[in-house]
Amino acid sequence: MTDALVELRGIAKSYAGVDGASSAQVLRGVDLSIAEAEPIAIIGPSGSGKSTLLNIIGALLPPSSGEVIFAGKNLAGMSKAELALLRNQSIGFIFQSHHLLPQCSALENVLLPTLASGAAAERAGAKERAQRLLQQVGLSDRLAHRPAQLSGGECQRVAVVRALINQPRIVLADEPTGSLDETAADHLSELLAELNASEKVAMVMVTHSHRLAARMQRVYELHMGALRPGEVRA
Amino acid sequence: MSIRQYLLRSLRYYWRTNLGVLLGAACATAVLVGALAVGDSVRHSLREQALDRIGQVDAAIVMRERYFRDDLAQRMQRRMPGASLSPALNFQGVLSVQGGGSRTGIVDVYGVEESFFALGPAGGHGQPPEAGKALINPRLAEQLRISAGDVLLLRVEKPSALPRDMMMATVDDVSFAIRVEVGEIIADEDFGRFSLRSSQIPPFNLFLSLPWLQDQVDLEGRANLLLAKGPATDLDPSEEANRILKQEWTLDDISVEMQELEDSEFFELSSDRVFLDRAVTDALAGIDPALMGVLTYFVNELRIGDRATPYSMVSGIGPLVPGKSGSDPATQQAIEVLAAGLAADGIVLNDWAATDLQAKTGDRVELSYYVMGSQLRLQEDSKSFELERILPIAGVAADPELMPAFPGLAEADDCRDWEPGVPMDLERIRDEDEEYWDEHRGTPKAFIDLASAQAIWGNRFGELSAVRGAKGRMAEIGERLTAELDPARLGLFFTDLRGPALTAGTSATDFGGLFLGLSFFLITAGLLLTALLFVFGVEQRANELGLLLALGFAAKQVRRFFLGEAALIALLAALPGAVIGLAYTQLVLYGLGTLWQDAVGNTSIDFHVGSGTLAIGIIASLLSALGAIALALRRTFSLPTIDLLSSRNGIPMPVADKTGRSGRLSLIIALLCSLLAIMLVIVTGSAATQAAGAFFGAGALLLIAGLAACRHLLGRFARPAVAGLPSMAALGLRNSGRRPGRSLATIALLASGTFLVVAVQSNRLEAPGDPSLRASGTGGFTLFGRSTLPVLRDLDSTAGREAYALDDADLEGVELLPLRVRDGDDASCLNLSLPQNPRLVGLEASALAERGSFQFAGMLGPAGESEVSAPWSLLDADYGEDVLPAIGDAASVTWTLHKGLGDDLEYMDEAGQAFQVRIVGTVSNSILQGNLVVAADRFEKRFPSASGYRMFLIDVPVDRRDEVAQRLTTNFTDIGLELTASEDRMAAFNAVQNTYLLIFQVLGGLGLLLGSAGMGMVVLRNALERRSELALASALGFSRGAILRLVWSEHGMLLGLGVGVGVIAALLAILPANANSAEGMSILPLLLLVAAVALSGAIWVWVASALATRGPLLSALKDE
Repeated sequence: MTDALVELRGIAKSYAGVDGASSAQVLRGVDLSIAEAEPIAIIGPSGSGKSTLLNIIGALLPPSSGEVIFAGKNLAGMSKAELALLRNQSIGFIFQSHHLLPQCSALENVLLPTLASGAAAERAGAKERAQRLLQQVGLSDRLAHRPAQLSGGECQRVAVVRALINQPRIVLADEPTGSLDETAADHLSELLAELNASEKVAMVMVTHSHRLAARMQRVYELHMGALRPGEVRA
Repeated sequence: MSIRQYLLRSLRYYWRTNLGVLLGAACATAVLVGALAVGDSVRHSLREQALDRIGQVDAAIVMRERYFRDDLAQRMQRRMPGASLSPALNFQGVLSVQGGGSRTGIVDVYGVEESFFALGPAGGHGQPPEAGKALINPRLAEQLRISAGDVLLLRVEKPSALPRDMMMATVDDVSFAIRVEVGEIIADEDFGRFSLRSSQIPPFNLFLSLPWLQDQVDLEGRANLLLAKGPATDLDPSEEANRILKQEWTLDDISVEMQELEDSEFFELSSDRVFLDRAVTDALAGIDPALMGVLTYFVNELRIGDRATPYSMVSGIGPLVPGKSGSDPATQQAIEVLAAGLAADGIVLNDWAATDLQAKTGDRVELSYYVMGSQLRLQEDSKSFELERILPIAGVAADPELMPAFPGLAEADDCRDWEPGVPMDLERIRDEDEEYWDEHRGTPKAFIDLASAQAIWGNRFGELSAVRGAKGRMAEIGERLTAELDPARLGLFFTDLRGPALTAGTSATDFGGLFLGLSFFLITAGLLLTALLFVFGVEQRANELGLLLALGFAAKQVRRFFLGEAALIALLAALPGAVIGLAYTQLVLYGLGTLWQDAVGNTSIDFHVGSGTLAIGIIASLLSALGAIALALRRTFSLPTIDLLSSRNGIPMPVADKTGRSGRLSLIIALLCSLLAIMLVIVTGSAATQAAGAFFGAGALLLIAGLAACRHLLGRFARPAVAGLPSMAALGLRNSGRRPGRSLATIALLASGTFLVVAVQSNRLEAPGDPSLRASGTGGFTLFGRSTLPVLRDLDSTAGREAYALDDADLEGVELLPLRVRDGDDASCLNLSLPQNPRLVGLEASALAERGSFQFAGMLGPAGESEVSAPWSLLDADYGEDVLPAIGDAASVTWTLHKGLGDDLEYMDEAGQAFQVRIVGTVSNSILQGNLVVAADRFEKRFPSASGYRMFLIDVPVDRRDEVAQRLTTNFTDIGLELTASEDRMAAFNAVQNTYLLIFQVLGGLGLLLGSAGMGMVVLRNALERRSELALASALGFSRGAILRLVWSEHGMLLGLGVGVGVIAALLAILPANANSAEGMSILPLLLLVAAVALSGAIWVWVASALATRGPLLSALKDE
């Protein structure tokens, strides 16, 4: 299992109740292994803990117990700065809402993660890559447009490219088509599959759409906080 | 894209929010820069005024009642190439416009030469006044409304070599009038402002021709002021001048005459001051202790039984140092003939007196004579002597020169023409007395031992009327005397003028700091608004913040982005802010020149701002804005990334505390703080000394209690009730508890603003309603008087009153406490400059102790005691050698002198000796402001030539005050007595503090307005955040009016709580200070103030509610 890119061991997560005494158990002993360039989907009903699990994998949320091993390193032993660097360099996020900055153009939004590294040398070539990727997702004529001038599907495609700009090893997508209509959703799911293949990046997609999940290599289902291999309904 | 581009994009995109932030920051910058620039302007103006005051003068000899030869300037000039010296005569006078009309006292009259104006700030006016013509400065011209060509009547003290306090000095003929015509008005920069005192208020100056004035006052060739500008070297000008002075001074410069006596074997050292200064006689004793000392005194009578000889001279004769012999044979012999071997109570009569008294050896001869008692009470003493020898009027015993030049006697042809300055019954003078005077003039009729004479007639002016030695030794003694005597011991020394003047120009009050303090609330409100708007902007972009963190930006990096943005806005705000700040300075200076003149002692302050000040102001406001923003951002940055990511329209609402723990804690804090505040009020009571502490302590505790109670209330409001929501208002109240931090901040801002403004209003000083209360600031003295020329007798005695043509009935029931005055800087709050040598006044401490006058704010006994049963007695206590204990007004000592109990101020006495004046007591809010009070006897020792009294505390029943004031003013017109009702004097001092309070209120009020605008922002923000809820209400069928009421009920309650907590805390906190105040406080201005605050808040709430609910609310539901 040491070849896995990401390995979750006995992940549990609970939230303290308002009265301070009771707590809500969201995840219960989740084990999962994701290989390099492997696309997987996690499905489950609302409130089943899908997003929580994704946030734990993405180092946005610490588990209550269990371990997250990313490329052989236990996230629990990493500082906040190391975690931030990990998110910036190795993880790409796609959210249900595109979270594009309204003050920046499509190209600038894509380039936003490159600013975190601070090193100009590392940023060199990012613009060409961004332009290439945007062209790849069909937005070559929308580079200078601001989010307000783009459609919902276009915004989400910009968000996808933003997730890939730093050539991450894994992309975490949280209901990426949740705010799109069916056509746009189909289009986006095709695009994600293509990018997974072309960019050789692992992908974890949280969705309640079986159609979208079916495009992934493996599918898991989260139920009552436990993860189990899932079945995709046609 | 670079970080710079990202920041610029954000700035541009969120320009509306950023414009608000920019305006807030610009406002804070403006007030900060403006306040500092006010300080700069005051400092600059005071410095300019100080330089106008002393021109190019570095040092000066300033003598009181002594006159050196005016050619001293030329003598010194020869040895000081490059220096400029100018002699002058200086008196204080009373000036009136001829033909009646206006009149003013305490006019500085200067007799000057052309060289005086050359020492002016810009090289001077050039032309000295012509004979009989006067140059006057603008303030005097304005005061008397006079111009060139007007004729003035100037009354000045008649210069007298004889100290006015001496027994033989006359109170008549003290002043005389000179008629002068106004030649020209000379501007301040042409040296019209020249003054030896540091004050921002120009003096009343009148310049006359020196030779003409010398002629008018019979002081030909004499001056009492020598101004020096040192050569352009590194040497200290005053030290260099003193070095040259020591080489050039002569005995004539200290009014000592050394001459060979005609028809005698002796030379004599004498003074037209009658008594030789101790410094001179000490030096002579060091040169030859066996020289003959003479002390001749005027006695009222020599009596043996029922036989008396009236009005005679009696001389004490002996070697300078008792028991010393061995001087030249002539001197030795003269002493032996006249007084050798006399017992302490032995006396020698000449044969004329012996015959007149039918005396024989062994008879007891009683001498009666006047001495000057305390408070200038002339008292007749007597002493009995045993007749040891009778001498013929021959040889050394027949010497009329033994009588010093007593004014009123020496020049009289007949005894009946005598005017000796002491009460005399001319009827007692017989024909034989006239014959004696015709034949022997002032030849003493009796001789006693020198030490005995000194014991009864010695006084603070000296103990010898002459010193004699053999003629052959005159040159040698003279040379040694000028070599060994330090002229400084007689007041002939240069003091540094420039250093103290420049120090004084630094201002007693740091106006930059003061206006920073006065503008504190305005600055705080500006910063708060800046931070509030910026944070609201950031909260609006909370998911951007979350996104950046999710994308792998470090929290520090993200914080830097936002702070960078804030810094850019603050920088952009700095320029307009600084420009507005300079306009604000102009506005404040305009206020200080008009409405708030009392705060700067009615002086004009010119606008001036240094580039350093501007830079400091800008940087300080930049840092303050950034600090405030950073502080406010902390909470937003502490939220988890996923919460930020999931936020819409601001950061997520905190979850209400269902346990009620924090509510209970708030309640406990509220009760505890209230209890502590009540205890503090009870413990401190109404003690004035602790009122300020109690006010701030109780105020702070009550504010905390109020806020904690509000926190508890908000918690209760936030809890869902099982019974449901009875009304829209109840929903509004519940909403106020959803963001308790924000709500509490709003309440705190309004409460502290209201607290300050209300508390300030109630701290205004009022003059005492009953000025006759002895424990009040008047000390029970209902009149306060100052005179230009001295009063030389005790007006509380019948004899003293008679000397000034007052009878007992005029002053019946009136108690008059006279004070000696050593002129110096005004140490009251009316003086903006930093006083270097505050005015000293000497009084009989026991008089005030017996009356129980004034209320002590602090005291410090010789052993460090902080409580003394009779604090005025501290003036007589021993604090060590060369330490003069002093008591001053607490406000003057603290705020004007910047001193405290136990602190020392260095002074120089008339003999050039440095000594310390130590603050050993302070009295509260009194008419003594501006002065340091010391014991009269100690004052006299340090300043023997400060004759008479020039300040008066007068206890007169209020119903007779006008009548007595009228009488005194009329009788003392010539000495320029000016009387002020004590409460008016206090009102003038109070006006300064009250004006500061007024400024604080005005600026605080502006701050509160700005603060209430901040509240408007909170309302707007709250309503926008909950726009979807309002939309829901709209969808459920609520009218727009009902929705407005919902927003109103929430924020109106916050407004009410804020104002209420502030008012209650202020009123309770000021209880200690106002508990015993007869006047109480004015309620109406308080009510108006509170109403204005509430109204301003209400307007903002209304505007914000209207803004937040305008437009189609239902679209917000769609966004949701």
